[in-house]
Amino acid sequence: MVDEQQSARIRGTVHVVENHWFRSGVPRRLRRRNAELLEAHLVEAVDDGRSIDEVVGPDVPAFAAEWALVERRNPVIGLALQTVGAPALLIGALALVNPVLQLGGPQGQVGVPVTYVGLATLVALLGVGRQAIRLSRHRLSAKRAAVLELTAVVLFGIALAAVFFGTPNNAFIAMTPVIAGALVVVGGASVGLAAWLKHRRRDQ
Amino acid sequence: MGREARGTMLLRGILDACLLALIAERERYGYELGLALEQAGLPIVKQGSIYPLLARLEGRGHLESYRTPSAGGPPRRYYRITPEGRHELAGACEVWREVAAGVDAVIARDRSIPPGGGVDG
Repeated sequence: MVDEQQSARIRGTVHVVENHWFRSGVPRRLRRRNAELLEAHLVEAVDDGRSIDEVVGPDVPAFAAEWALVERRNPVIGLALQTVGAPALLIGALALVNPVLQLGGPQGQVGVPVTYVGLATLVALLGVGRQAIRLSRHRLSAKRAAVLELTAVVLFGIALAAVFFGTPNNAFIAMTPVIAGALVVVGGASVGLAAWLKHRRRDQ
Repeated sequence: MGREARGTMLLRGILDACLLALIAERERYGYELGLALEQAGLPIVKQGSIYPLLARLEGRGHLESYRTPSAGGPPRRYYRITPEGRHELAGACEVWREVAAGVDAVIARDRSIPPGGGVDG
């Protein structure tokens, strides 16, 4: 029989795995199903006198990533769509609301300040970078993954400083409403398609 | 390369066929499959690594699964093989026999290797 302490360790392990799946975009239905599978396996293994490590290995997030990759359809295509779509959507939307919010440029002009373009691109790239690390986590040791994440954050900081201090205050990209609208449509479609791929189970 | 690492690497390409073969014998659930692989002497680094493979096989239509309550424990998910899975297994067995026969033939040329490998531990 599994005692209270072992039971808590099992729940803790399943929680770490489920959390990784959540952040990797595994649909809720599959997360629940697979968490139940894993918990049942761990309970039986511990009951048989085995350790949790014998089931999931010493690197729990790497184990979770290996499983998550199977449950995702076309993760690389999704990531590419997100990389292109997110900045395009954000920049197009900002350009369209500029006449109302007056973020920069001439009064009533559709367009976007260059600083905002840089920021939108950086935020999108940071999100994509984190997702890419999560997707390939099973191929990385815990130490290497931590170093990569830290490097990404440092690079983000440097790029952020470059955007803020290296861009002239009044630099502005003027657009026609049609171009801004097209950016919103193309960006939105890409992000939507990426989300659809993310939540669709492989081979279904 | 270490003995365990080589075993894991070799097993990676054939583990799905081993799972299909075990499930073709009778319907089984995850823990049972892990035990059966261990009892067969296969060097599984971690038992849980069978689940991504089971998910892939199910996604390809080679397996089906159903959930059933278990006495005094969490519910279990049993796997059963589909006709497509049997077809896949037959193909994998054929490939395995060819590869194993070829490797045996090459390795047997080295007369310094006694039967069974002759390497300790």
